[in-house]
Amino acid sequence: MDIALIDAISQGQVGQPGVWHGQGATAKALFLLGVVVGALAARNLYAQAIVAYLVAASWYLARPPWRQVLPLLVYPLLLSVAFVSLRFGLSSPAAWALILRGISLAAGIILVLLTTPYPQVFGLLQLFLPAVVVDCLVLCYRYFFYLSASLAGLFAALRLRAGWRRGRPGHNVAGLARVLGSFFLATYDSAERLHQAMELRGYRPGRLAPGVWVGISRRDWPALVLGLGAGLAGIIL
Amino acid sequence: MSHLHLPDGVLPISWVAVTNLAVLILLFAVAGYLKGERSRRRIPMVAVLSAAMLLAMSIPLGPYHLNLSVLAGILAGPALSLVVSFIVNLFLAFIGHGGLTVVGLNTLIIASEMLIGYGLYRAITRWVPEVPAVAAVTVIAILLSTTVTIGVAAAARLPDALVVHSHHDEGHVHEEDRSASGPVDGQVPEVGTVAESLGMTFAHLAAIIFPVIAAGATVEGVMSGLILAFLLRTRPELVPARNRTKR
Repeated sequence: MDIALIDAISQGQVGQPGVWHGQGATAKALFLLGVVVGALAARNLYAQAIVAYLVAASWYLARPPWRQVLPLLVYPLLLSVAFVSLRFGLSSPAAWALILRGISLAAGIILVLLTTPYPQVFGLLQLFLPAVVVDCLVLCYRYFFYLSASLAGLFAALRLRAGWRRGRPGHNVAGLARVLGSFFLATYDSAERLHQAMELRGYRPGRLAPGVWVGISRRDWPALVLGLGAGLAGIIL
Repeated sequence: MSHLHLPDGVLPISWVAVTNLAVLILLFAVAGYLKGERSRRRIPMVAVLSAAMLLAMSIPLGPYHLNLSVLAGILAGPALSLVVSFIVNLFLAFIGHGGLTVVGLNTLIIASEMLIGYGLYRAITRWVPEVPAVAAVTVIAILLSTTVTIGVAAAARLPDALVVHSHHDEGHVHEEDRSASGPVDGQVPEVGTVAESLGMTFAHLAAIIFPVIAAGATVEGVMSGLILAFLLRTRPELVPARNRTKR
């Protein structure tokens, strides 16, 4: 799933880390803030296009593995196009501006996540969210990968037992229900084991999140300049 | 199913602000509950149920994908449904499935689906066996939350910063041309939308969307019923209503 791909790229396991990987998490958060403000404040197509251009430049600097990450933008693009197609009373500049806005914001957040290891992302989220909710996010993130492997194993077992056959939807649905039932049991068991491990380690809310706080340094100027540019373009133009 | 698949920037900023603030306040309230000694054991459950929902969403069923939000709501209970919904929507926004600024609204919509499902399930399992109950409740909850979703989409006005302009040479957008009623100030509006060109109204679109969603809700209801039947066969103590009737 996309989350696993984003994690691998952010950790530098897939593709070559670009300039953006070296930017601090705080600077990248400020970049994202600039993009959000710029995109939402833009009053015309030109301003929206400049915001989109600055986000595209940021992607170019990040040099992600294009073939793998560009499909991540297809969904937001389709959403924006669908919304614009169904929206009544829009002229073409407004329609293009809406599409650019949706894509710019999605590309901004995806870029930040593609280049920021998850401990730093959760470290930032700790500033706004209750510690116990961030703990849930951290655990969910970890268990996503564990349960993903578990689900893949259950599907493999289903196929090997000929539980999945073309042209037999009823048979397949029953098989899928068994897989998902087993999956829910695995989920419960994981939660129980996790609870016991947390109790043994003396869990207190807020301790699970790694909370890596990365301040702003001189080398963060590309993210700060691009974010500031996007924000100002939206506000001023 | 009822996930509000809206991109960022198409809802008014006031809506975005109010819904995100409301979710933040609710999250702090639930966090207070989760910090308690007795409820702390529910933290891993929230996390793994969220992960399970995210994974279930990656399983395609023809043109649909599973959600399992109602089943997760029944298993998680009302207080934790909000946290599960928030986590799922935040991760979805991280990968571009729904806007980051609409996380609050999406959280409220899916949480409402989970709460409706939980409430109805607790109410009707007094008279109806668990499996048909969860199937029916799933369909009802999804249709109700879809109604909310369509209502939001219908009521949403474009943000003030982005409205339609009729001056061909500038690319600016002005409020006066926002309506589909026709030209303003003698100007001819530019190209209309696809829906408009087909002569469709929002009611027409809703009439098309509802049967499609109803079919998906039925698929999800059947799957939820079958999964619950499996749980009742293997680990009945996990299913809330069965626990209650045993007491």
